[in-house]
Amino acid sequence: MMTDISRRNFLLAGGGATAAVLLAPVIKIVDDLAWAIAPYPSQKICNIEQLIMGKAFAASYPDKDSPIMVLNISVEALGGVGPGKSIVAFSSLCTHKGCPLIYLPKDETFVCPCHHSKFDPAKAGQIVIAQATENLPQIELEIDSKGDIYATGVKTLLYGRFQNLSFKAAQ
Amino acid sequence: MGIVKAPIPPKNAHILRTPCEFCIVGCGYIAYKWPVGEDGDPNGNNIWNMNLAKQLPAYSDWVSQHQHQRIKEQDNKEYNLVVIPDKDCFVNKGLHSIRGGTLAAKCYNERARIAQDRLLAPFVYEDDRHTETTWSEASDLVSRVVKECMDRWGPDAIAMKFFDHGMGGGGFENNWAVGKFFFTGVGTKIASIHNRPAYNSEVFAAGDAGTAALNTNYFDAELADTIMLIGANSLETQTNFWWAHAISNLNGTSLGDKKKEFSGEPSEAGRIIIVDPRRTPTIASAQQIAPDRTLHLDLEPGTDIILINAIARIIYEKGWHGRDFIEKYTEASSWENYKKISLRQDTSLKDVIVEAEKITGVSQAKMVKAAEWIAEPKGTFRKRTWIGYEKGVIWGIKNYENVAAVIGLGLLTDNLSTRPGTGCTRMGGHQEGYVRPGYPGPRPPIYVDDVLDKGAAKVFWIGGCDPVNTTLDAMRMRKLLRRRGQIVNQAIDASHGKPAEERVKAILDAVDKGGLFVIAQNIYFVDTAKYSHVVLPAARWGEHYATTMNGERRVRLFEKLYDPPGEARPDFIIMAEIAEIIENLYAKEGKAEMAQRFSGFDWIKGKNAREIAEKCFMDGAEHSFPAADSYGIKPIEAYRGLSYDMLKQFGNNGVILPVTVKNGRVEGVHGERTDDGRIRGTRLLHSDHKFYGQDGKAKFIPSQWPGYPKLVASQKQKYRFWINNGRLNHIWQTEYYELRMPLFKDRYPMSILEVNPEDAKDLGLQSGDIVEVYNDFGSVRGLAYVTENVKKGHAFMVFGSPKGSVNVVVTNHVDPDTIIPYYKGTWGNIRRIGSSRMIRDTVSFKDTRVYG
Repeated sequence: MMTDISRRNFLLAGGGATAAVLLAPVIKIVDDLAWAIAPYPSQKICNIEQLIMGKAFAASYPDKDSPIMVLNISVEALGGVGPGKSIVAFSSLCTHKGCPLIYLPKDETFVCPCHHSKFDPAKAGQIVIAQATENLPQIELEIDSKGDIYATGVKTLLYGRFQNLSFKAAQ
Repeated sequence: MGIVKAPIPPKNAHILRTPCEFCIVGCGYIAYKWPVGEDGDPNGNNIWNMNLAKQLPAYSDWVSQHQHQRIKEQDNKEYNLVVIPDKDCFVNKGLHSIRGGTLAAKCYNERARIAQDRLLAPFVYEDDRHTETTWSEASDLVSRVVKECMDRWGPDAIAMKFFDHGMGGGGFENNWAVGKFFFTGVGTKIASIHNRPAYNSEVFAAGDAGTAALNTNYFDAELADTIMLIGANSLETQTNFWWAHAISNLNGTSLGDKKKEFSGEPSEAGRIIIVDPRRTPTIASAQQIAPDRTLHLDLEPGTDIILINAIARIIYEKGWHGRDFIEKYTEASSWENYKKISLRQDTSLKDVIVEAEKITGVSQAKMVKAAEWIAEPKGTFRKRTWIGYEKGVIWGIKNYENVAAVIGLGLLTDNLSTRPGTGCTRMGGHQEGYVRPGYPGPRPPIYVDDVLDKGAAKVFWIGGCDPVNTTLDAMRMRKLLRRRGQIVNQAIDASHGKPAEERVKAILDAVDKGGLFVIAQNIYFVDTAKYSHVVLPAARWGEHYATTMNGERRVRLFEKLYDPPGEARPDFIIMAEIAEIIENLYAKEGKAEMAQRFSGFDWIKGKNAREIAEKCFMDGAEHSFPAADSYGIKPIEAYRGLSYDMLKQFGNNGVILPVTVKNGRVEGVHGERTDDGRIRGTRLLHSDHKFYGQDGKAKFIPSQWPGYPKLVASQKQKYRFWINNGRLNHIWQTEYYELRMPLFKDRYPMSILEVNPEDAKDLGLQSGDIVEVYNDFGSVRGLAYVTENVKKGHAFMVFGSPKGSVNVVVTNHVDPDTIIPYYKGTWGNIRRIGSSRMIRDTVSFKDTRVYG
């Protein structure tokens, strides 16, 4: 269980492994479910030129059954990449009941048409209001000098999975 | 980068059922428990016999990170515990809120932050700190001080403030034990309920009108032509009433049931009227789903009586009222009085609605539309309207008349739970489960905060609540606890090394000089516990068997999921053990009558946790009525003959009270014999057209707008903003779990203040700024959220937050007829403090209205 890792500390520290180390003196993390190195694939998602402000770019990661949305938003985002640190990507399945989310450009949020959950992509997928029990899983991104954007990992558990990567791949 | 796994319950996981700990809706949950290291596997060898190695579709049984906890039993064995919603429970239909959805993560795990400040042992005050001690020392000290104070000064030397509700501390068992201790044993009148300064019903007017607080059910809300919510923000506070029932009606899902129940009668997707000064997330949600069938009556603060009575007057003038019903089933003189005072028959309709528009700010057109939606007949058929009301009106300008106006509208339109698809009910906060001996005090009851401040009582026993953050004029409570508690502190500090008898003597001398001996009984070391002299550790949800009743009067069994940690005990055991010590002290002195008063807590002789709890449950059923009835509390919580085995068999659908049990068969009191799992027991409280008034009739109670009370008016005159307050979707009550969970704490690191953009501009405020709200009573801080959803001149804060309690700026005004506070009525000024980078960077300030 990873409820003990403060998202705020985690994100300010800039990565999972660092956060665990930072927090270690304060709390103990339940061992068998703690962070571990996993072989997430590095996968090209799109080029920065393909991202239009106000529109979400649909893709999938870490496999074809996991839909994601890539955004270039108007402000610097936690975990954002690119010149304005404003490019982010998230799973597009609601962590409540797995309904596909809609991107609402008006206030740059993800909303769920099923039970009106709402997530903030600028704040690492934080629940604005929701019946979901988890913030929206953020996709780790990297950008190269050509503007190609790569997905390199998923920060938290995706809806409808007991493990993000297929069990076979993770072993 | 990391991976995270959810644990997979194995085929042989232990399955336990329990409703949620939190709000009155009481969603059903299933818990899976199995030893650590014995997980199931994803390839079908698991409790669901499912392939979990692939992406599951929407609405699957899935385990999110907050739906798991690792727990440890008293024998030191560790288990995985998964808690997910029960798809077979009609209450929630497999849905969960963010509060109930995280039940597992809120269970005790010594290695998680949820364990921070959890009380694992009793503590005693000594030398400016609280030191861990044994149950025997703590119980002995409490028993002797309570007994000696009673002997010297009488029963009113013992003041109490305890829960009276369902879970979150309460339940039938805990309520019965607490009530038996304080009312049969001690016999005190200086009693008050967790969220208010007296021992009172929040809906005396409903009782006096001949009905009960909870008189209908959620299935009937799905069948209504119109749902009317008054001062209830259901999406955030009764979440699955909203999603599983109200929305099923608004979006037409329940049309099939309507056609089945009301054949030949016109039916369509439902409409909703919501009375609230703020455009709440509930209203925004309804407007998104059914824009043409949602009506928001955005009244000015405190003007509910005028608005409701003006709508009632329109209905009456149109002739849409329930003439036959009124004639046959209501007291005739009360109807005449209602017409005269509430409907203002002597004033023209035009004058009434022009004045109503002026004072309430709601347009005449909206009032007429509301009247049509509530009562305009459907051809030859009478409309079915389901009215739900809660704190916005209960904690309003004058509790008694506010509630009377709502019930009056229900009676006028024949919607008082006599017909399917109707009701006029509290929406509720906690679950319920009230069984107690009668309160020995007067009505109106004693205003406890006030008399404690003036020096009354010698002992103050506070259980399952945190009044320094939740009472009205909360600074007064803090100051009186500090002032009077310190006299006792000094006496204790001066009694180093002395035997118990001498320490008790020192405490008695201190309370004689104006001191107050404070006992805090809780699951966490809450803010109020800082002022206490003895702290008693209680068990929580999942740590003992329990029963409660939800907002439909549905009683269910809460199975024990794991042992209480450390020395924590259920309240019904704490009260019984202390009663036994006091009984023995009196017996030794040969005071048989006093000993008798503290006897009969025999359930603690039960063989195991289940038997102990069940004996207490049954003792309450046997002995609580008709004593409670004498105080205007109607016997809806009647369940004599029900056993835990019967309840276990009924699972999370339970049975709707009141019920009778004949030859092991459970029936509703109107002879209902339905075995439909959705509704078992008494569906509608008044389907027999019997009320609790004279000759079985209902009674109209007149209501007139009283204007703002003097004290409130003085703040209104001096200060610029109306400081409305209420709840947030993320947070349950005083945040005792959320404070300790990053998911919640990171989202809301401080209390919030919603403010209109024009006011924000004027004050130089931006979303995320730290602000201070102040008036003559105190000051409180919060984070600004700039939103058009509160009107200019209005602001909104969270009730009772330990991170910034708005209650310190709430005046000490109460309705003198009921001693219910006007929590919603306070005015203050707002001052910008500044802005914190950490908060700006990590906290979302997007609007909680989902589509803006």
